[in-house]
Amino acid sequence: MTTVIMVTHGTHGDVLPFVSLGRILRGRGHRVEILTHAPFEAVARREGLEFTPIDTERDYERYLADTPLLLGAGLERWRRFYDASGLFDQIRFECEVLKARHVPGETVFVGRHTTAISTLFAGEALEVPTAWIAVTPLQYMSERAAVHMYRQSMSDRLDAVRAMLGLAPVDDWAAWFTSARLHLGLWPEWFDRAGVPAPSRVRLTGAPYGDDTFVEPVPPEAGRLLDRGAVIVTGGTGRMIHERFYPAAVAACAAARVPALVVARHRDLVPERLPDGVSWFAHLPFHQVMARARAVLHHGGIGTAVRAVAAGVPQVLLAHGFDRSDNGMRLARLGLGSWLPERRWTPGEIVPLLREALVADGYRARAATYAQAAQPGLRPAAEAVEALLNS
Amino acid sequence: MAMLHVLETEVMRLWSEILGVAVTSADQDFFELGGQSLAMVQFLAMVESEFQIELPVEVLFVEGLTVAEAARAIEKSGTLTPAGEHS
Repeated sequence: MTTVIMVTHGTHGDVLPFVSLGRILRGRGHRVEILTHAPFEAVARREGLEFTPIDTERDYERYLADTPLLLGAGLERWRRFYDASGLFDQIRFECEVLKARHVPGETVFVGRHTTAISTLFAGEALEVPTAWIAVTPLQYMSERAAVHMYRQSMSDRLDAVRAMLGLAPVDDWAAWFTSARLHLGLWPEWFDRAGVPAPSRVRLTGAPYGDDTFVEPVPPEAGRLLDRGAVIVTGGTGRMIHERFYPAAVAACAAARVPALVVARHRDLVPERLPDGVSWFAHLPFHQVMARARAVLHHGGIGTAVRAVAAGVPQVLLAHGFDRSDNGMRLARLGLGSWLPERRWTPGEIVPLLREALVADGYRARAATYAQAAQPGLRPAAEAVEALLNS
Repeated sequence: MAMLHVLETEVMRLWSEILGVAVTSADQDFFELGGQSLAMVQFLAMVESEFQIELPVEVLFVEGLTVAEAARAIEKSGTLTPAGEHS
């Protein structure tokens, strides 16, 4: 039995794929523990994973509240964010847990690409094989920038964590950044080829579909709206969303006279008063409801984008920041969706794209090829992680 | 000069696709067009992928960059060659 210890950070799109991967690994007879944000404890434990929180629910909300600052330019922003959020202490804590939990010769570390610094440090110190997994192509596209940021603005604090583990300072950050033994990308080949492809060292395993870890039933009101031909509006599960996203999306649905399910974890992001035929839901089981929607109007998160393709549902992206415009560009190149940047979020620009999506003749047939190639990729990822111990 | 014009045209094409707005002039600034740091990451990665040219990572942290400046940075970094023409 292998002990697999996973470390991940971020919002649902960053955490749930790891929970689902853990469930598969556990089903294959391994002991799996995940270190991540406190609010994910219930879902992780329900999937049979051991869980160590890296923060508290309150810390996590503050972390989410601070993340919009990262949308701006400048190297110093990231250092300020790491300092203000206590992330260097968190990395140290993760390293201590990894060190305490590992079983020599029987352990694999799995970390989220870019942020699971602790898995590389602890893996190096303890000689544990480590896998880094990216959930979006932009993580690989950002490698040069991340290396530059760690080297130029964070190396003092990171090297202090290494010293705690008995490791010398990093002398070549570029080599360190690619030092995991296994590199995985959780998206389909067709999505990769539509933009800047992942480096050759990366194995693409396919879509993660982490959202199927939610098992709540579909609320009756959601079912009624879907039966009336509603669209789904969602800006993801975090707070990394432009303040105009929900007002613009809701206004466009009203202008297009289409009912809508607005799915947002944080009610305060959504306009207080919603038009008739538009209802708010904190969560919905997308694996159950996506295929029943006429279209999806969303923020451009890769999980939502690939899920919509797999469901054969047309999509319009209001993309701002992070990987969202890159995802939009890839979908547009493939003819699978359209997208608008923030400065074009007006009813005059959104409504025509939404109407086009609502009458998308032949869309399902066009998307079918890609939907078939959007099959779950976590089983091959689990097999690759498993093979690490035997490599 | 002719090469610089070709480079400016390529930069405008890439920025239009990355930023989702029409970019039509060499004087237009990436950030004034709505670009952000990660969109700049995207630009650098696309230049590297499409033209096999690695722009200096410091470009990511500048506070302003026009089409003409980006074209000159590419010119300084290497010769523009569409990726498909590499052996």
